[in-house]
Amino acid sequence: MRHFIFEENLFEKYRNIIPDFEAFLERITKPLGNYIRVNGLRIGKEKLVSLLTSRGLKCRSSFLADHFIEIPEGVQPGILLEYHLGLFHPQTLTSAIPVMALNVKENDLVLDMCAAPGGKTSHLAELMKNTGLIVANDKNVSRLISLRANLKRLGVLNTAVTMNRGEQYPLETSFPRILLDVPCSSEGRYLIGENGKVLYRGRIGKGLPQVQKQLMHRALKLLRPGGILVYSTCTYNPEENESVIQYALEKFEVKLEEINLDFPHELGLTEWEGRKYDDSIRKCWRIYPHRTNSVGFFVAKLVKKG
Amino acid sequence: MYERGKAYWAISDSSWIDTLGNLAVESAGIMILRKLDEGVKPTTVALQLLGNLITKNVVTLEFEELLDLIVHKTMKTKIGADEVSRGYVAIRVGEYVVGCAYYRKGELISQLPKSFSSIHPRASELL
Repeated sequence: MRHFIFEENLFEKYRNIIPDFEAFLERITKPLGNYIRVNGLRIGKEKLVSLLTSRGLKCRSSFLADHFIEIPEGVQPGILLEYHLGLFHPQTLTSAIPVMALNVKENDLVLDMCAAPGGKTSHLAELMKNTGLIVANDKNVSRLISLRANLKRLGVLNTAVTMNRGEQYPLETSFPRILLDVPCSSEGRYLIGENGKVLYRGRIGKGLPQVQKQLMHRALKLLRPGGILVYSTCTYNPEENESVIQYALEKFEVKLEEINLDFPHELGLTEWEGRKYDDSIRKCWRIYPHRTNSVGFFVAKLVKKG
Repeated sequence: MYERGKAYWAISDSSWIDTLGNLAVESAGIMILRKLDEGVKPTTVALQLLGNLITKNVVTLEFEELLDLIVHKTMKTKIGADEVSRGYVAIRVGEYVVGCAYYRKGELISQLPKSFSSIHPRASELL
């Protein structure tokens, strides 16, 4: 058994909630899978595989095989002409789950409340076949630059971009579908180097759950009765996950729905550090890298009653 | 399609478009044409999206020739004036239109995005 030291103990508090904890720690000492999402607006998967293979790129199938290809570790997509043609987008596999859980259809109206840099937005556009309208929002100019660049490159025609702090999003328009992928501590992206140090560290701050609840509050005010909101993070921290969902269940007339997708996951927690959560939170998904070869995620699907 | 400043933009037609009237929109859809003194010029993504619908003023290059154009910004071409007109031409590589160049007297002048400079000439060796 590996002897973990120093910052690997960062995850020790999760020993009892992450299944097969030792395998989890082992897995995050190696790079996670390198994935690209086929841009179905421009090309089919088989054709893209053929093009990339002809360039000498080894392509492997993965989970979500209709939409994703695994490419060798360390390959920078920008070296390929096909990237610049918008035929694919480098994207973590698990970040597709919130988009697919939202279950968008052609001609829908969707708000992507924290949209930059646009991977999930462009995936929404693909599933909507560039029809309907997506309103892609983020809070400042620098984030909008990357968002608009990606939407342009990928040929996304059905998206308008707004710049608002999500917590203050204007209430004049309501939406039947909302994607709320919030800023978080990004523990799901952490990797442990050979010296035991964390190689990637996201936002740190005790204020995150408060911000996330404010975003959730605004999003649920914007959601139409009968509408669907998908909340997601790339962290394991229940304070940023189940606690925020509990807040939503207590403050609004919403209920959780099952996420009917075929993908490895664990159930949401009903208890953390002495605090109990609603039983229905078991319908939320916890996704771990040692099960999926991709970034850790939390996903919840809420429906507004009425 | 709609006009905004010195450009034309395109957005998918949708019954939800009126929704945008309630929002302060930074941009909607994609820029497809730029207004220049000498007329309009299609953007790179517009050319890529139109692809094989473009039947006039198209120059087909081999991949290596494209890289040459990216690196050197200009290249001599044997394409004659009877095949393309002086002015903007679409550049095709394989079956994909990749962007734009300006043709003048047997020479192509690149109008390709700066981001194309990251395309590696020996990508297959790196893979």
